[in-house]
Amino acid sequence: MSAPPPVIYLGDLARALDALDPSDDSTQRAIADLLGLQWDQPLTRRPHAARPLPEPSPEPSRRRQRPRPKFQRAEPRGVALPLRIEHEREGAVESSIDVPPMEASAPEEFAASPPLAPLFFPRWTRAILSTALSTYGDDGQLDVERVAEKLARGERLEIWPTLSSPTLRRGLQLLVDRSHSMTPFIRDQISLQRDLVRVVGKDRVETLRFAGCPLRGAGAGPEIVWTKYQPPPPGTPILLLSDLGIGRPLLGADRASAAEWLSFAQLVRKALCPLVAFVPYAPPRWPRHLAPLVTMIHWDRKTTVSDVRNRVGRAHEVQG
Amino acid sequence: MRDGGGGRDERIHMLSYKKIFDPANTQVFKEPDGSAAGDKRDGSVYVYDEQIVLAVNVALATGRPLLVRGPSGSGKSSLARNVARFFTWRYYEDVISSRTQARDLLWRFDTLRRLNDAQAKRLKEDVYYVEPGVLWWAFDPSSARTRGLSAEDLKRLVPESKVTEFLAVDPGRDDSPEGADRERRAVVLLDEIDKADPDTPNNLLVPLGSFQFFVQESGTKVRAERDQSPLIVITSNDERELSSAFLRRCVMLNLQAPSRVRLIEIARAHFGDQHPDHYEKIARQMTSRRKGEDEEGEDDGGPQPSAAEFIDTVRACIKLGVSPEAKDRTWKALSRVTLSKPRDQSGTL
Repeated sequence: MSAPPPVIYLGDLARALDALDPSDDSTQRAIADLLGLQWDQPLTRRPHAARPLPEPSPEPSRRRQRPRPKFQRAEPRGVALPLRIEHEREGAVESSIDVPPMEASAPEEFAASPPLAPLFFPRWTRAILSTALSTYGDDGQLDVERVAEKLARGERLEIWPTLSSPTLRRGLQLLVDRSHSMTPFIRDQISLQRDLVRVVGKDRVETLRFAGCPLRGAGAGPEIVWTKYQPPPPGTPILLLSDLGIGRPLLGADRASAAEWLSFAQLVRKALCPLVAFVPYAPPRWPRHLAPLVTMIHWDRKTTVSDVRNRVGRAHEVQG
Repeated sequence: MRDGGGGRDERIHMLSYKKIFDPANTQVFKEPDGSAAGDKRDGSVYVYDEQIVLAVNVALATGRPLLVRGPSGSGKSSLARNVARFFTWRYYEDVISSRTQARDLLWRFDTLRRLNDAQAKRLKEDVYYVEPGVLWWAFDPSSARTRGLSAEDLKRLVPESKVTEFLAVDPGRDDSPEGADRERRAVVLLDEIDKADPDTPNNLLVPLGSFQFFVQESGTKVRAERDQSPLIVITSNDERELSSAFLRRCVMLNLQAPSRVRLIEIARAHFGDQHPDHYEKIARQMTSRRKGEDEEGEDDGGPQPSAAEFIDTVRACIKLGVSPEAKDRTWKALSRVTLSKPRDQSGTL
């Protein structure tokens, strides 16, 4: 496979300026802008001035004698090169917390939240989400080996065997844990929800919130309108953003028991939906009894795509 | 930032450059009779602004794909066909779905037909089952027609009596009298790329950037001739984010919901100058709806109407003799079904 063509840069700008021959600065800037380039310098090409003929070269002996300044750097000539503008991300997911903002008790610069450092390494997030949430889809190329095997045995081809390929088209159900113990991770949840919409598609992500365990009730709106939890259609992956009770005090009211989580995982398995949990605590603290039923992934900066692949494989096997 | 719709940047006005693509402000390719119904994707009418024209010119000058983003009904898809009609270039389109794979746009191998033929003991060479995709037709229609066979191989492998049956049918074929004179260049529309799985756009980077690819089954290297590269127009509703690698290789045009003035221009282009009052009133109502209010200033909770819905509403008013007066009950009822479309079932008329 050959390498992809280079990204848009100076060559494209030069080609466009040459072909379209813009006659003013604003047109040149508009062209650079369409190519995703930002250029602060005036782009106007200067007319070629008639250059005076060079003076006759001095005699070699004189030329050698001319004093040359040492370490004197000339001012940079020409214009600064354009910079690429990174395409800004749009369609931000609004926070769903129904709490009125507190009055600022400090000057704005102190009250403002510090910038969020997402739990997954930003450049890997897209690949991590794709790998964690893909399911196998039977719409790939013909599985010639399986066909040949069936035909060799003289069996009828009742289904058309195809090679499975990972796909995100089944979408996902996102279950966001709003328990008190997840309060430190609310901004991470919102940020990840935004990333999921970008990767999977906004029409394919169903977001529900819960506290404690989804079996106690879940819903898209505020807690007062939460209803009995319903799993999504068979084959749809479910993603839990939860500490699975790890960070809660043992006797806390919203701490779900191991039995509750187990019932939930069994319900989801019965519904033929792969269950994935992003857990913001390290593996040694994960509840062991859930391991056979939940694909737990450490929601942490150190998690790599390979780690996720080791747990999930290429994609989740689904029926239906 | 780049944006080509109603709220565009002032500095793009009166742009001055040597245009490769220089359409009229309103580019019409047939008499607008207002009779055609439904979602018109035929590109017969398109109302341009300077930013759209510049974006097409930059894409042509650089040979990069033009990625058009914007809300539904803002004219993303019909742009490609209108450009093709302007240049009298061949036109191909593929509406992307969640199942579309990058290779489908290059070629498909019809395994089902091959298996059928094998079972009926009439198996042919593999090349018979190669179906060229839109990008193959756009890059090199001659080799697409012969499914990648050279003239010698065609003679060798296909009996003369079967040649017509063997040749693939060009989906961009134009049987009209002017079709015979169509140039070799093409416009390709890859519609709604955001519907595809995330890997699909990335897998298209090489063919879209180099205008060439290799067909394994026939051993054919397909490539667009020099100066014959097609204009690739890709649309996205931004339902899913495209990768940075993909975005960095595209010229990007953001269309926004059209302003009131632009809506009126669009109506004039489609229906002529006979009903200026209709255009004005419907456009005003529509732009107020974007602010989330109805005529009485109340939020109706409906989705934001698009330019396509505006055209449908004007067409319905003209055909049914309805005057878009605020107090008119018939107009209120009509606008409910064409513009506001309340989402809940309780939206009584």
